[in-house]
Amino acid sequence: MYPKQDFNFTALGRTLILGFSYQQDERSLHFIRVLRTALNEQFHEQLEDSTTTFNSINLFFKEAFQLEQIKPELLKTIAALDFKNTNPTTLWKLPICVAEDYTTDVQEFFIGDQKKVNAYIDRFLSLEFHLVFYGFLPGFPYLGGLPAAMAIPRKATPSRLTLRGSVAIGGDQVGIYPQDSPGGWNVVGNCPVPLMDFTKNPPNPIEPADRIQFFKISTAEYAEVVTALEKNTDHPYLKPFAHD
Amino acid sequence: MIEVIDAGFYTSIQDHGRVGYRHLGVPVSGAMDQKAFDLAHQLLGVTLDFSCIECTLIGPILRFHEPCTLVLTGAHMQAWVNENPIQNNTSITLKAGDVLKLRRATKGLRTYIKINHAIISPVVLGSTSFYKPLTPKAILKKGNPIFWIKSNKAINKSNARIRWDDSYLLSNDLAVEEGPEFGVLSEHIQQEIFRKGFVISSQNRMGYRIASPFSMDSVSMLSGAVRPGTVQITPSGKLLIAGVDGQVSGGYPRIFQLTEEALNVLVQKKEGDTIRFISLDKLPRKEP
Repeated sequence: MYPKQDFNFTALGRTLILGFSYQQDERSLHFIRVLRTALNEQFHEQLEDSTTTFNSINLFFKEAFQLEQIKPELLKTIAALDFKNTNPTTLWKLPICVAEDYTTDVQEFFIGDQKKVNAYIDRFLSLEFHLVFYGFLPGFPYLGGLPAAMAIPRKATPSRLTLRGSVAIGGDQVGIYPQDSPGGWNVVGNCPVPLMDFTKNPPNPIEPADRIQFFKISTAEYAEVVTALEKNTDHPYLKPFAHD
Repeated sequence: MIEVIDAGFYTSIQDHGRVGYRHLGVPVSGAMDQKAFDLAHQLLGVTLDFSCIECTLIGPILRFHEPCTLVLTGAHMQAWVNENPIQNNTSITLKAGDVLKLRRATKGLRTYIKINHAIISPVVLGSTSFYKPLTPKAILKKGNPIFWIKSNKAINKSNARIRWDDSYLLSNDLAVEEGPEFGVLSEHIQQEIFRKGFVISSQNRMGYRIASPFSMDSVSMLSGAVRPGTVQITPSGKLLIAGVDGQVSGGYPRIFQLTEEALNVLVQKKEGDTIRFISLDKLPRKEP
């Protein structure tokens, strides 16, 4: 958790950056989410948008602002934050296909040692991640919660093509590619369900600090979901997977 | 309806941008040169519809199947209606069948075509701005017609007398404020960076890449917020300046932030042009 003196304030043009140290635990992430929500309400009229990263809340103001003028207001909000009466985080369960075609990078990392690959994937599926923020590409989530022992370094030379839906590991971060893209992360599986539907507004229900767990689906089930998406028909895996 | 006879080099529909979705990783997009974009609206006296056509380096050839009034702002391109040369920053009336032909930019890089009707284009998250894959298209293509909804809004003739100043198209000076990681630069680089000119290596709507002779020790940092006009430096000394389609976060030290005005100067620069950074503190203060 964050004592008041842990925050620092900088400006990037009309963006006010509220900096803090990155703490991976769920309670800290939840605190940041509650604080961002409070700041959104406090500065509602003056803001275009606000974002979070690992170690900052960023307030995008419509007009130029005076940092020294706003700072006391921010500190007041931080001090008065009522953390107890806030909505709890949600657990989302997302399908992942870990058939060989989708795990080539992990295969490569373990030099084809199938036993190690399987052990790695099994442990991956047992983990609960939390969404830290969206960045890099529209709808690309940075997920925290991968134990240091499971970190896989980014590729020295990025792949020309990382497929849409790829669940991938870059260092101790996990991400899901919302579209085909060049990418330097190591693919561990593929999630056929898009996290965002940009034709809807708002396009996505999964918020920073929410928890995510993957569950294994077969190649046949994967194909069903893809077909359902193409034909715009229903499939149980396409329903929101919110728990608790 | 507008028939696209030739789409030009990189032509897209842009509006005020997709504001309010950065928290989902969605860049703001919209017109790169906000000054030219705003001027186009003022000159035409239209405020309700914001979509315009952004042309880059070589403009399109368009046939207008219905009459309209339009204005060109931003970069000066070779421009004709039928065979008659036309000028920027003045409203031009077209008859049905007229052909607007824009070719090479002679001053600046990006030109805006604004018509007095509402262009129809898919709205995604509140904006028509082309940005693939959020929108189906990244650029206009030959044969893709542009439709509009007729606007009955009278054009305010007095707006023709609005004062405009295109001198920024010839400026190479970018006014900057220090970014959060300016301090990672050595003292030597902190001074040299304001003394040298830098040549633009490449550019697109995502951003500008600029070579520099500086090399840096790799700085370990977590990705931070980036907005249009944020200047990052890579370990090899490359300077990256975010454009309106740029990523909302970046992992290199943010050494500068361009002022809004400086961003308009930058986006009119092309590959091979030279720019200089000017510290905002050292600029003469404008009279209030």
